[in-house]
Amino acid sequence: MAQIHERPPLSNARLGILVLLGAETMLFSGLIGTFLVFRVGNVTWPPPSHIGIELPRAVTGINTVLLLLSGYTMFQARRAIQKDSVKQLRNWLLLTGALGLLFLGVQGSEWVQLIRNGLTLQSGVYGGIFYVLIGCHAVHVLSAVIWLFIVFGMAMAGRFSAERYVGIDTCTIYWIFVVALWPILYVLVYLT
Amino acid sequence: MYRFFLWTSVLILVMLVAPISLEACPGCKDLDDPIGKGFNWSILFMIAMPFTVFGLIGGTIFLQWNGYRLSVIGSRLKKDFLRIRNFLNGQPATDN
Repeated sequence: MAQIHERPPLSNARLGILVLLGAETMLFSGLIGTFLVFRVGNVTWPPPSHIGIELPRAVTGINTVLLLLSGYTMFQARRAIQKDSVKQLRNWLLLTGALGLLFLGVQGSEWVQLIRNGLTLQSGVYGGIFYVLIGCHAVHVLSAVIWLFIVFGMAMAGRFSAERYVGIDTCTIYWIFVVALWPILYVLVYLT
Repeated sequence: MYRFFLWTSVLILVMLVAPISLEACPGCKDLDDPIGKGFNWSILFMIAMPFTVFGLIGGTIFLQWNGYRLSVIGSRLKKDFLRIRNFLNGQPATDN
């Protein structure tokens, strides 16, 4: 009788990351739900006390494009390891990490500017919900970047191949989640 | 079971025939109020989320499982095909 080497339909790591993302989605749903209460509940937005403060829509729009681009590069990294091209994998991972860091850097500089303009965590509902919602996403991007560089280190050590790349797979899923979440937050917080 | 369906049907009928507005939440009792609308949208959004999450996770598991089943069936068919071809060519059966 021929022995058939069957791989499991869904690895534990992939199932684990799906459950984690389910929990993350619920966390962001709660935060977006809170934002909706304040946003729809206020006739004027920003509230009259924050009328002079403008969110940097254009710069954040460009930043959004950068983050979406990082989703593409991460996807290319996954494709590279599927073709067993470790060199391409490293290049795409490095480019993705650089784009992620650039996103965080631009957002950090925006925050400094906003705090100078008087929008702080304590300056009412508007500042509070802005920093909690956007800050929560920024923490997720930061953790995704850290994870990405760990994966990059593992790729440098030659730990991945076309047959074994579950580490790349889980990191890609998490990265795509973080990237896909951002346009929703950008439209909600910056454009509405 | 019959009584359960009977009473459920009666209840639904009464609710349809004599609808009354319920004020379950003091925050959104007045629907014209902006804060009430805010609560409504927020509640609708958050109610939809568990279904979306479970649907996506369940859908992914289903698709992965389906692909797995098809790949197993495909590999078995390939082995059977090779055995039959070897048999017809008069070659000894191999497991490859």
